[in-house]
Amino acid sequence: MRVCAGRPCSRRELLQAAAAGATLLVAGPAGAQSGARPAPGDLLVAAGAEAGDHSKALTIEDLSVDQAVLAYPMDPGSGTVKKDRAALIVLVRLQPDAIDPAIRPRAAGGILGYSALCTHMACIVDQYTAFGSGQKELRCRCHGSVYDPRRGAVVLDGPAPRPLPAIPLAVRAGKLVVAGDFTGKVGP
Amino acid sequence: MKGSTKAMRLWAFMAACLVVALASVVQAGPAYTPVTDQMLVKPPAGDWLMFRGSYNGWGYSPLQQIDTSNVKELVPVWTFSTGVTEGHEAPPIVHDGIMFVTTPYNRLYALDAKTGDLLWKYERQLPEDVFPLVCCDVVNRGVALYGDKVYMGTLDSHLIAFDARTGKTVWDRTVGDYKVGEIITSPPLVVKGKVITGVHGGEFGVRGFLQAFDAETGRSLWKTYTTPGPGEPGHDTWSGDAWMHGGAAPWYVGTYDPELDVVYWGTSNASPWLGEARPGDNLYTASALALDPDTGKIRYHFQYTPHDVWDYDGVNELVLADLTVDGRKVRAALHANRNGYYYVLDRTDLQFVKAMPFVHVSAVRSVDPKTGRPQYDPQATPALGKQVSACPGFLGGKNWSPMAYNPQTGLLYIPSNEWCMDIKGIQVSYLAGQPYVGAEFEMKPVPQLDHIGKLQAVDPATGRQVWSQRFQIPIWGGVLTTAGGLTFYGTPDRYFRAYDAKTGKVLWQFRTNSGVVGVPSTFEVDGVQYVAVQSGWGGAVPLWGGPIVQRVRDVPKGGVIWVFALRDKVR
Repeated sequence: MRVCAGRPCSRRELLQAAAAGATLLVAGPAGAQSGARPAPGDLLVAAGAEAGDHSKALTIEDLSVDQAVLAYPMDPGSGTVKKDRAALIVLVRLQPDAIDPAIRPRAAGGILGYSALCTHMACIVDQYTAFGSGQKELRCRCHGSVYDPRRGAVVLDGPAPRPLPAIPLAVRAGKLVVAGDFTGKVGP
Repeated sequence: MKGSTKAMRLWAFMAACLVVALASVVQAGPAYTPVTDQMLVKPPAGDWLMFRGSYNGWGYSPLQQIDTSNVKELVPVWTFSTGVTEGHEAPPIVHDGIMFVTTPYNRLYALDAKTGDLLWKYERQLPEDVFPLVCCDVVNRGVALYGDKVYMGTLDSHLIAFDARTGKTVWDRTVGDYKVGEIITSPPLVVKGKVITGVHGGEFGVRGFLQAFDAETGRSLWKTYTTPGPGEPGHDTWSGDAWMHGGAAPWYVGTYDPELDVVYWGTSNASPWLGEARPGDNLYTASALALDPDTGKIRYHFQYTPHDVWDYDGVNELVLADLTVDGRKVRAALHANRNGYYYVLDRTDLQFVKAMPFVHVSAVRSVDPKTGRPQYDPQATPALGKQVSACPGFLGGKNWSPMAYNPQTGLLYIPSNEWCMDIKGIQVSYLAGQPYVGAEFEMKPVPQLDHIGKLQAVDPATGRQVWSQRFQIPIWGGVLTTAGGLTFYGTPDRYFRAYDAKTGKVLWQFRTNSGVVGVPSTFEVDGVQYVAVQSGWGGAVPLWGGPIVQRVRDVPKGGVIWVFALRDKVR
């Protein structure tokens, strides 16, 4: 267990610790392919082992502004976490006015969600860092594709042929939830 | 219905005869003389038997029907569309009038080298989950030949032996675990009945290794890891368990000196790129190895870039040539490294002879003239959280693209690139099957320089540049040189050109379908010399070139095998 100031870390502290590394965390094999997909109403849970309790649904406050987290959808009824590569979502919290007005309706509290599978070769887009361009971007470490989360994850660099599909988000009872289907094909 | 039974039986009999006849044609296949050890040591002039044509890695052919006086009469004879995109990096390998060519995604075609008729094909069904683990495009760099078999390594880490006449799989062995990045992209080297291959994975934290298989049976004969374990020489150049995921992947193909009976092979960068994760020199990363082909034992080594933090692989080929260097006869091994230095080593024991930059260099400030050990510029050395600019960029002053040596001109033809990078170390931890790099990086041009690609002819004994051809775009193909006084080279702007090997003057050029990143070869069938090359844009540059990709973003994709000959020879 990670310890913060002599006590167990809060979930937010764990998420922030995970984000302090350049790579966003996924617990266990992200290669699983169960066929499970996000469905409207699904809650979202952090995918990283360091982020701790999978049963706790994420809230807006769990992410700092300009922080990204990988998350799996969770069926709100059964509590089943959909641990599937194709269901993996990268959440990015931005200043609301930094988001392209055309895609703001998909955001919840400044948080945007995208499929975490690179559209080039289906690697996990697990970096949200600033390099070269000066502002943080979503990056695929396998082959170097770079996506701009502020503008619908358009491709800024690398071999990816198209943007990451977005997934609309909403807030219900204080929790982040999936509010629709992916806007396009997931993966290559 | 009863009345038709006799007719049906007749049809069935005829169909059966046809099947038997077809099967016998397939099984018999074309005439094919088995490839012997003697042929590999001294290849028939009309063949192109292995990746560089011969064990010494020269990329040189003694054929001279096509020469400086008539090369302008070169015309396409036949083409073959491969049906796939991505980087076509393999040379056409030719023996007994049969051409064996591989393409991306491990497709293998056997073609009549004179007519282009398809004799047989193999199209591997690759698992979908292999693609994220291939660092630098889904390439394959060709086959090896021995006996009556053709050998290909695959992205999903198999080594397969095919019957050269029919394409039937004779044996199929698993070499590594592709799910951790142990992937094969280059041809094996066959030495005395042993098929030797390495694996890639320097960006995935593999522990590199070379493995030899019996050419006839596929039985594993030896396996040599390229990071030493506890108790092995060189283990003290590592700290803790870093050697277990330390890289040194020998992902390219080696050369061989039959007289010394030594195989030469290079190793990749250390894993991860982040140096803090692995204090020490980290043998045998970024090194040249001299191995006993019978046992796999490492006899000698030379480490170009100890404790590499720039991705300066040492995999590039060692070209074996006997030279007079500073008045001394040297059985030399010549090498143009990713770090931007050209090295002359003594191949009898891999002792350092000399080195000098062949492109713009900033990370390696100097090389000790006695030991060859580099001194690094701290201002160009990245570390955790420390961003620097370093030249060359991680794609190297020269990458895998093989250089060629012409004994007639005495010149070495190096396909090089002038570029730099910004690089910063970041935290990373090993997770099987995930990239294990620990760096952010971006390629960029050399400031104030008007070109990136540079095909340069150098005096191999001194490193002095005799001529160069410069390109605004990066170059990525291999070089062919011939006794006809020619040097052939293809570029991403779709051109395939012939240069005067002495002067560098362009004597002929042809616009192909796509960008050329292939390795040309030449061969002879029925008294006609042919030159062949694959054109199909891809490889590492469009993946990792960063802003430089803008210069080549509109290069059309799709692979074609091109075969040329003199107009009056093929009328």
